[in-house]
Amino acid sequence: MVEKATRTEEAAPRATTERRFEVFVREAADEPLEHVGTVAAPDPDTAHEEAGKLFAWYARDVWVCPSGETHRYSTYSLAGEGDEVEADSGGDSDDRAPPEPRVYEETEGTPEVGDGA
Amino acid sequence: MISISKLLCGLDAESDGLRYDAADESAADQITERKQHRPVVVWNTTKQCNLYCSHCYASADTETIPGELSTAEGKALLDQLADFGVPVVLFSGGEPLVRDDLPELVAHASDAGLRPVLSTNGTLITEENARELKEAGLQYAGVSVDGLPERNDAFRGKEGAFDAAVRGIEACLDAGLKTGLRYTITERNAADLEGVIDLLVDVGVDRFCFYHLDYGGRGKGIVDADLEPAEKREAVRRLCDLTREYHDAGEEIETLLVGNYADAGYLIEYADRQLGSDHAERIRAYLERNGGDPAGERVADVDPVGNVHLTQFWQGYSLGNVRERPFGDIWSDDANPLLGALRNREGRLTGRCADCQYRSLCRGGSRLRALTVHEDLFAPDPQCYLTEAEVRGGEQVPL
Repeated sequence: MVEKATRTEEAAPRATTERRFEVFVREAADEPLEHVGTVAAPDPDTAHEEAGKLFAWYARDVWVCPSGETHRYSTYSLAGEGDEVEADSGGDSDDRAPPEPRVYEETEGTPEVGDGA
Repeated sequence: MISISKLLCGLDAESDGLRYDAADESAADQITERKQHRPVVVWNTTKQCNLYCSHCYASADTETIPGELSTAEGKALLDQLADFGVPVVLFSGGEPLVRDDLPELVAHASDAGLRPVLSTNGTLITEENARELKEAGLQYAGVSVDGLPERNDAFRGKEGAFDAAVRGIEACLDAGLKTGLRYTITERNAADLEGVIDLLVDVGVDRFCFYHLDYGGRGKGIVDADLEPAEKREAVRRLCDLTREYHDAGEEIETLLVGNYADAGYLIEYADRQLGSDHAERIRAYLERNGGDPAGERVADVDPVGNVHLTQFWQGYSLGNVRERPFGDIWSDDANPLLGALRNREGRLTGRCADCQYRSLCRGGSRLRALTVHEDLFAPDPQCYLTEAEVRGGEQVPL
């Protein structure tokens, strides 16, 4: 009997300014698609355009998939067991709360945090 | 990063061991026999900033964003970087000082064997937190100022930002922390170069890093504020002249250029004309070993949510995320064709770069600027300011 791996969902967002798209490329028709990172873009067409600028010299096929709609399950966790991300499969994951939100308190010497000016 | 003061004036400075924001205490010769093997890593610890600068490559904003790396994740990342052999971690942002765990992270980096340095707007630095960071092991603070008060404040989106930054610089210096200036040159502030240096030398600053504008984040939206190539050439010449004038007067200021490796060719041309051909050849030997655009090789970036980028300016594309794979695995992934192409880019360069005599020194300059302007990863850097005669070689033109 094969022992099953225990994976947890890594559900933290990938976006910092705008949506991100996972990029997969294939050089030849008989090769598997390879994940080569993400691009920031507002929509799939722009994501393809951005990915094309980076990989057009190489790739026959370029696939882009919204990072926020990609569910990632892994045995790996950056900070180990004690800091694993709580699985949350609902909605657009780029809008989800961080797994361990920091709390900022305005302290002496940081009077302008959150000022916005 | 190219040290004008070292190459033209022979100043052995604290950052000699490494061509980035490291503040190495050694006085070792800059000319090393091998290139840096592992990247300096810029970690954008948060998206949040108390200022809103018009050129911010990180598009920092007034609030944090969902999913920023936690303290525990940050420490795990720092351990990964240390295990991978990263020499320096540059805590950046946003404004890193809005993270109240910054001293804890700096101490963790230092304990792990990394050299922790800081990139900050300086306005949140106090005597207390400067001392705390120094005690945590911080080696260097680079404070961003982009002009004399009126112009700096307009650029940074806040009245009083210049004075607050200078107070921060003074607090760092009082705490015994090596502190330098970071200045992004655009047409809006090029006229202030000399004035800012003069003013900050009086404050006690002796390290000045001048950045060319790269076209990432909000910098992409102010491409029209970038200097024209001839204006860049003039600004760099003024910095060369100014550095030599200060050294001739006995002031050992360190001046560095960042973000445009046309500077490498220009400094050789400058030295050839002003200091003689032997001096120019020594500079070339140094730059052959250590120079060239570092994207994808000697500099890496991790953004607030863990995406790994080719440089801190190139945040539109990510190689992967440290929440999915360790940093070293992402950075060493030979299956990514873009990484391989960037690391062996010299043969792919097109246009005038293909036959440039300085191609092996600059490696085409900024690939991000080429991509932004020409939509071609291997086209010439639009901000290369070398003349056609300098590119071809064998014929002198006015500096």
